[in-house]
This record gives sequence, C-alpha cells and structure tokens, in this order.
Amino acid sequence: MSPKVSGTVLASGSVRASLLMVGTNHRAAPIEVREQFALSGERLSEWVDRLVEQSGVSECVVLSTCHRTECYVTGTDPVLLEHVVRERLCAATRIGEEADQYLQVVPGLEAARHLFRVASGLDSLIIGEPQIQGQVSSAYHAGDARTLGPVLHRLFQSALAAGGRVRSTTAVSQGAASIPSAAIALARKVFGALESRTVLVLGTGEMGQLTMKCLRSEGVRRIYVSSRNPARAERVGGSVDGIPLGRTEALSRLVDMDLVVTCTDSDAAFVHPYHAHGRALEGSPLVILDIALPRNVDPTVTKVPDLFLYNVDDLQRVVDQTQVARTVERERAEAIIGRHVERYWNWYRSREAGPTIRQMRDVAFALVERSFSESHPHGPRDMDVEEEVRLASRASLNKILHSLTQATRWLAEQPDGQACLSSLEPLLSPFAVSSKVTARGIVDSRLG
Amino acid sequence: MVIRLFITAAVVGYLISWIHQLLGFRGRGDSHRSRSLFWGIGAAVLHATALAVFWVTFQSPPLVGFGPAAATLAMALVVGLFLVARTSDRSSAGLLVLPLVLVFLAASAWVGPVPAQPTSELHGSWLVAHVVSVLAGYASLLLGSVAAAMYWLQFRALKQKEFGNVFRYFPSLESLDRMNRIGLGVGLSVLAIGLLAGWSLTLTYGRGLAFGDPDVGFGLLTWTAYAVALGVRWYSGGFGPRAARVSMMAFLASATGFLALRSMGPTTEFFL
Repeated sequence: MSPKVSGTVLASGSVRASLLMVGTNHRAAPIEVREQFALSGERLSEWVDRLVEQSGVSECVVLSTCHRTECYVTGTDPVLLEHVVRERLCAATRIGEEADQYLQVVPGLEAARHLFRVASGLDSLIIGEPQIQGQVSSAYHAGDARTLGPVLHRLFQSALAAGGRVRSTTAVSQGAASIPSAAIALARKVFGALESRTVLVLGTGEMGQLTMKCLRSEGVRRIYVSSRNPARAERVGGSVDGIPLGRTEALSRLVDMDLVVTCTDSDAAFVHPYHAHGRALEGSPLVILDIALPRNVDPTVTKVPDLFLYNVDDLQRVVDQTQVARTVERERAEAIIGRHVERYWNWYRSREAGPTIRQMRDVAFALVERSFSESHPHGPRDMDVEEEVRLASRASLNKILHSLTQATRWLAEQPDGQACLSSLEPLLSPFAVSSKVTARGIVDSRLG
Repeated sequence: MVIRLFITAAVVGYLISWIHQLLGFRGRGDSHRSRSLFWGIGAAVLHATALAVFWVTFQSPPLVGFGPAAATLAMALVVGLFLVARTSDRSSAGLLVLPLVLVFLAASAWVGPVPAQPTSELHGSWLVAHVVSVLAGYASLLLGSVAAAMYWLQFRALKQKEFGNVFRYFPSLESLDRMNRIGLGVGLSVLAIGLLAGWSLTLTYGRGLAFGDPDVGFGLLTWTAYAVALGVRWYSGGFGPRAARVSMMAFLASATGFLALRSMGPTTEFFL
C-alpha cells in the first residue's frame, strides 16, 4: 500500500508534518507473524529511541498488544518516513524483509481515524473489549519529550477521549463477550460476588483446569475438584489449591455447592435431578454450568427449585446477544468517532497554516520596515518619534494580522484549504525574499 | 404557589431522571446512569426546598394532610433510593422506585401541599415522631417490595434463559435478596415504632386506639401484610421466587387497602 503524501513542502521552505501509521494487526497477519513484531519493555523504548534519532522522524508512539503492533509516526517526508519505519519494523523481527508484506500503512486523516477506532474498541477482535483503552493509554504515556510532539500528544489525547466517550454513551462495551466471561456473568447474576461461594469442578481436562484458574482469578476461595481418577483430581486440584473429591462423593455433596461446572468427557449425563433434590429450600440457588459435549447434566434437573442450568449453547447465546447489541451500537460509536476525528483533523490542518501565517507576518513587518527606511532616505531622523510611530504601526498591524491569522486558520481547516494556502504562498514569498527581513529579525534587532 | 412550583419542577426532574433510567435499561449506554443520578439529585434538591419552604411558611413540618405527607413520603423514598444506589449495581432500582416517587409527588402537587388542621390535642413532638416513623416505615417497605419485584423478574429471566434487558440491567439475585431483607426488616421495625408512638399519643390524651380510623387501619393492615411476607421469607429458609411473590402481594394488599379506606371511610385530613 503506497501512502498518500500528507506532508507538503511550502514555497517558503517550511515543511508540514506528515502523520502515518505503519504496523500490523489481527486482520493483516497471523499470530506467528504478529508475535514477531511484538515490542515491549526495554526493547520497545530502545526501538523508539533509535527510530526518532533517524533524520525525518519527528515523533513516534508504538502500540504493541497481542493483536497489533502499530507505529504512529510524524515526520517531514512521508515517503522517507514510511521507508524508515518499515525497515526498522522488519529489522526487529527474525524473518526480516519477509515481514514487510504484512505491514499496513495508513496515512494522515485515516491514521487518526484508525487510532480513534482502536481506542474505542471498534477495531478489536471482540468489539468493545475494554483492555485496549488502557493499552493505548500506556503506549501514549510511555513516550517522553524526545518521542512525543504536539501532533501525537493531541492525537492520543483525543483518541482516549473519544474512546471514553464511546464507552460511556454507547453499549459497545457492555455485556459478556466470550464464553468464560458469559459463564462468570451468569454466576454473578445469581450470587453477586463469587469469593465466598463453594464451587465444584467436575472434570480435570484442559477445560477443567482453565475453569479452575478462571475461578481463582475471580477470587473464589473454596474449589472442589473431581475426576474419575482420584490421583489426577489430587494432582490437578493441588495446582490451584483445590480440594480433591471422588466422583461419587462429589455427586453426593452436590447439594452443598453453590456453583458446579461440569466438563468431563463422559458419554452420558451423570448428574440427575435426585442429586440436587436435597436442596429444596428456597433462597439458596445452585448454578450448574454444563460446558461438556456430550452434556454431563440431565436437562430435567431444572425442575429442581432454585437450580439454574446452563450449557454451552446458553453461554453462546449470552455472547451472541452481547455481540448483536454491540453491533447495533457500532453505528452510534462510529458517529461519535467521526465527530472527534473531525475536531482533531481541523486542529491538525490549522497547524498547517502555521508556516503561511509566519510568512504573512514576516512580509507585513518587512513591508512596514521598508516603508520606514524609504520615508527618510537621506534626511535627519528623530529616533524617539520614529520609535513611537514604529510601535504604533506594529500594534495596528498586529490587530489587522490577528483577523487574518484567524481567517487563515479557518481556511486551513476547510476541505480544500491546503490548495488555498498553497495559492497564497507565491503571493507572499517574493516580498519576504526580496525584503530579506523577517518579523523575528525586526523584533530581535529592536529589542537588542 | 411557590411550594407547588418547586414540587412541579421536582416532578419534571424526577421524570427526566426516570427517562434516563429507562434508556439505560434499553441498553443505550452507561452514561444514562450518571445522567439519571444528576437529574435525580437536582430534583431531590428542589423537592427538599419545597418541603423546607412549606415548613417555614406554615411553621410546621410537612407531615399532616395528604399533600404534605405524600411529598414527605416521596422524599423518604428518594433518600432510600440514594442509600440503595450507593451500591452501584443496585442503582437500577430507580427504574421502579422513581414512578412511585412521581405518583406521590404528582398527587401532592395536585391535591395541594397545604397542611390540614390537626385535632387540637394531637400535636407536638410525639406526633412528629409518629408520622416520621410511619412514613419512613412505608418507604422502607416499598423499597423492599421493589426489590422483590426486581428479584422475581431477574429470577424468571435466569430460569427461562432470557438474556435480555432485565438480565443485563438488573442486579444479582443476591443483591436484591439483601435489599428486600433490609427493606422489610427496617420497614417493619420503624413502622411498629411509629404505630406504637401513635398509640401512646392517643392514650396520653385518653382517646384509646381507634381501629375504625382509616389511618390506624391502614397502618395495621400494612404492618400485618409485610409481617406475613417476612414470615414466608423466614419459613422458606431464605429468599426465593415464592417469598418475592408474597412481598409483592403485601404491597398490593397495602395499596388496595389504602384505596379502599380512602374511598369508603370518612375523609380525615390525618390519613397519610
């Protein structure tokens, strides 16, 4: 993908900064390639330091997560900038130049829009996932005065603000978006906090172990682990401080549990209504999450009062409903992002008016200075009077220029603003060049 | 006129707050919770101002007469709601509590927030203690009933695997169970204190307990209905859909009793 040229060399010689995003993500590269690009810790800061030392690179922030490594850079020449960043990113991998095919380059406005969407979670694998906001914030705060300038400062601040706005005013981040989070959400809807609950995990396979770790991370203190093989139950249970139980004992103690997770490879259901019948009292619910295939729990157990049974399909429905709700909200989120991007881009473009404004001021002050020198070419000069007139002229000129500056900034923000500014430059440059005097020069000489 | 103006403004504020609750319930973003809270606080300030202006204007607290008592009961509900909302996952209780607040406050504005003339000997701090306790008790019991209704809806959603707005927006069963337990426990205790204070007040003036008085009848009916609800809760060994239904029925019995006593019995200014 070749970048659009968003940097422009002005007639005055000033150069406008170009914004680029160069990187890869879950859509462009498989995980084996993404992990090659991953940058973190010391390696990341070293990489960024070296990049900004290169000529033509002004600012750099790298967003490196498990789904993306994206490098947001500004510099004077977009072609050179792209080349340098591509080269440095490929050099950071073990596959070298082969990695180049996985890199994407997004220039200017689209780069800004991309970051705003990333920060809002709209570009994530799971729409609205909350971690990305923190990861964008960390990437931004990892920068320092050498690597961050006004363009990226403003870009990341605006992106984080847009992300916060999207999350608070739309439902893109609400609900459970994965099977484990759906399971936890269901259990939480019954019990609230899970810490003090008693949990039984039937099955010690991969899914069982994953479930136990997940429950531990939720703060569950008492976990019983059951397997047909008692030795295995003891071994696996020991790894998560679980209490091993034999299958028969576990089933007989089902009524003492709050949450039961079944994930064995049994061919037939082995949890029946009579296992839960002792739990006839109201107000002490039992939740059974049957995530095994074939199912381990007889579906008729739901006839037991206060027993909630959910299988994989139910958990998937929770996830699907979340995804549907998030997709519906996506349009609203995109509209919010659009407004924030527009605001940022207006600011970005108004900065591009800077060289023109400086040039305009130089020309104006140079013309005033020239008028002074031409008014008394040979005659005697009263320096005090001249100084007063000069100050008055400059004050008036500043007032006039203020309106012109505002107008120029506004012009720069317009869709065809760059073309308008470019057409102004040839008009201004002959004066500036011929006068050989700049506003700064005048001020400096007067103030000594 | 000023009091009615403040109350009307508070009604508008509570209405906007409730609309935000409704939008939040419909899944239109988390910000509606904070907006609902913002409008709710604003309306509560106007509401409290109306009650304060009443107190200053009439030199008596807004407790006697239907209009003032309804406004004070609405305030007690709002205070209860704020206390409940301090636990973030129960802020959704406003979805059902705010309509009750709106009904009481609108009724107060409609009837007119003017004090009724109490019987000459029934006044002073005992009367204030009696009415305040009774109104606080009613408010607490109402919050308990709201928790029961939410529990029942959430239980149904979980049991029937309907993972829609109720599942998403309402708090956990455990949370609603606690809210119902506290609402009923505190409500019954405070209402009992209020009724006893009223009884001792009438005894002091040698009037005895007038069972024919709709005020007394309503108080005893409410206390009994909710005591049964608490009894069912206790007998069941905990809170469940059955106990939730009984709590809701207690509310219905109390509300029906109120309307019946209002329409059948002699109209007295004291009645709520």
